Amino acid sequence: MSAMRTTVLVVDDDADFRGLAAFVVASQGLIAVEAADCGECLEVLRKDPERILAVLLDYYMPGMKPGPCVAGIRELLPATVPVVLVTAAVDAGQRARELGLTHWLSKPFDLDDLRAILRAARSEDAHPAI
Amino acid sequence: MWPRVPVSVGRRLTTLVVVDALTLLALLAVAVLALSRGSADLGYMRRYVLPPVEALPKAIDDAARLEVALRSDPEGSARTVRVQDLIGEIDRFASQYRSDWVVLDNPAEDAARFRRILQDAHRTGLMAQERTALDALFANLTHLKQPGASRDELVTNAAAARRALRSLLDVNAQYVVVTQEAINGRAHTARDWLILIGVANLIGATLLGLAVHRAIAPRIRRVVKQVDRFREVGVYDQLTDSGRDEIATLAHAVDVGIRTIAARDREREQFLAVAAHELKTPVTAIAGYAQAALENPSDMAMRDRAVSIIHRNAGRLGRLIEDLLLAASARSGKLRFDPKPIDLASLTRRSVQEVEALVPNHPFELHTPTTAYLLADEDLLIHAEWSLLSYAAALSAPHAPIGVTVASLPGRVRLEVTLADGRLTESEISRALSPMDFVQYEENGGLRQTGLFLCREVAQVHGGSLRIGHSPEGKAAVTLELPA
Repeated sequence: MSAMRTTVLVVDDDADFRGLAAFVVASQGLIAVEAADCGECLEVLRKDPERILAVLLDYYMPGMKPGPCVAGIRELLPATVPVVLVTAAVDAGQRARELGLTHWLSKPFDLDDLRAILRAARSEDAHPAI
Repeated sequence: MWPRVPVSVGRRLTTLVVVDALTLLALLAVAVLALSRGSADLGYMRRYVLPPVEALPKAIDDAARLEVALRSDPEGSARTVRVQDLIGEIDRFASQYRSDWVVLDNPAEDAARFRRILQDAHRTGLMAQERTALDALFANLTHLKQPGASRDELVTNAAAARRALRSLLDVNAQYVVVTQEAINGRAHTARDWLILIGVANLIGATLLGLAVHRAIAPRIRRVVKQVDRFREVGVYDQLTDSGRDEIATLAHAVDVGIRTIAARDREREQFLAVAAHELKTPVTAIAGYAQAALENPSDMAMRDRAVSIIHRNAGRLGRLIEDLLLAASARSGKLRFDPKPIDLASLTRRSVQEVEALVPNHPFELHTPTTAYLLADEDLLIHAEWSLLSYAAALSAPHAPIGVTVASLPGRVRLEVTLADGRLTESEISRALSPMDFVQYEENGGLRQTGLFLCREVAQVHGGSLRIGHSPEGKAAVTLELPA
């Protein structure tokens, strides 16, 4: 049996948001790892993909475009690990679908929504669907 | 088909007017011709037909009285004074007729015209009849004036002269009839021509008008339909008109206008989307940290951190909103300008201090004189400096120093900001000055701003300038220069 995934990767170029997300993640008994752009995100994933429970990914960031960024993440993580698009864009759901993502949060959001996503990810990790 | 012919609308309408004008001229010409011919015919009648018709009854009467006088002469010599007077009257009439009124030998142009009328009417026999009657009259007069003629011979000649005169009257009466018929005929011909030309013009002008209408109306309707569609549902479909006339020019102008409005709408929508995105970022931090602080009232460290972040993001939010409003005012040319004496050196020192606090990874190297006074709007200048400094921070690598130099020059002051590294491409410079765009930049501690558009507008409203270029060392440099 593999080790439980306990790390949530927060990818956003806004330091305040990363701090907020990390606080919520920590409040759920999880570990938050921050990345300011997709390059840093992929670097983290390459080092330790086994521990990643979920990725909170911003849409507009310097550097890599969202499409290649998601493709890079998907290469390094199993499909069961949720990649959550967290964006201030007007059409968050549409952009998530374009990237092939099923989870998204539209900024600003209620912290309970983020907690619910994290709980669902942990539950899925503990009891994976066959 | 008419629209395929590259003829201008103006030329089509001109053709229509010219055709109508030519028709009117033709109608006038026919009417004038008919009137002039009728007038000529009447002139001849008035000069050569009516006078003998008026004079002949008296001559006939003279001849009749001569005959009576001769018959009642008891001596039979017929040489009374009365008889001589009557013969003289008739002789004078005959001479005048021969010299003035006879048609056949009359060299006048009117007479020649009348002879043609007689010819056209197949009544040339009247001229022979006139000649015969006139010859007979002169022969009778010769006999009447001959001395020694018997009374019977004189009576016979007087009667013959009367008949000759009667015959001349008949001939001239026929001349009147022929002239009237000729005038009537010309009037009928003129009427027929007028009707023909009028009808032809009616048909021609109608067809031409329909053709012009067909060439113009559908295309104008198409333009109006497109404009209505754009106005009602905001959908822009390209307006195409393959013609090369004024309608095509109009359609092209409308197309350009609608396209410009549509582009501006798209630009505005994009701006709103980006503005919403940028505004939601600090709002997310404010709302999120407020919620976290409320949920953890006993966590003092969390509360202090939340308050600090909320305060900072509220400042960001306020400045962003102010920037957006000022950019919108600048775009519509309504930037308010309230100048007063300001020390740019002092103002720059303060701005650098404030921006530096927000971007601790970006050190500023400040060079300012003690004072650098100018006449300026303080609020606008603060926004311009913030735009300039945050733009420099956005495009500079962390920890690389950003040069800020204030210089007081004759008649002007200059603020030059040198980016830490790199050169700006034309595209980056253009984007930095776009009124509806945000600058995308590398990691910078969360500062976002609306580029240098507002900074340039502030420079312009002060009568100064903003230049984006490169320093001698190859570093990107933005220079704000304002009149002192």
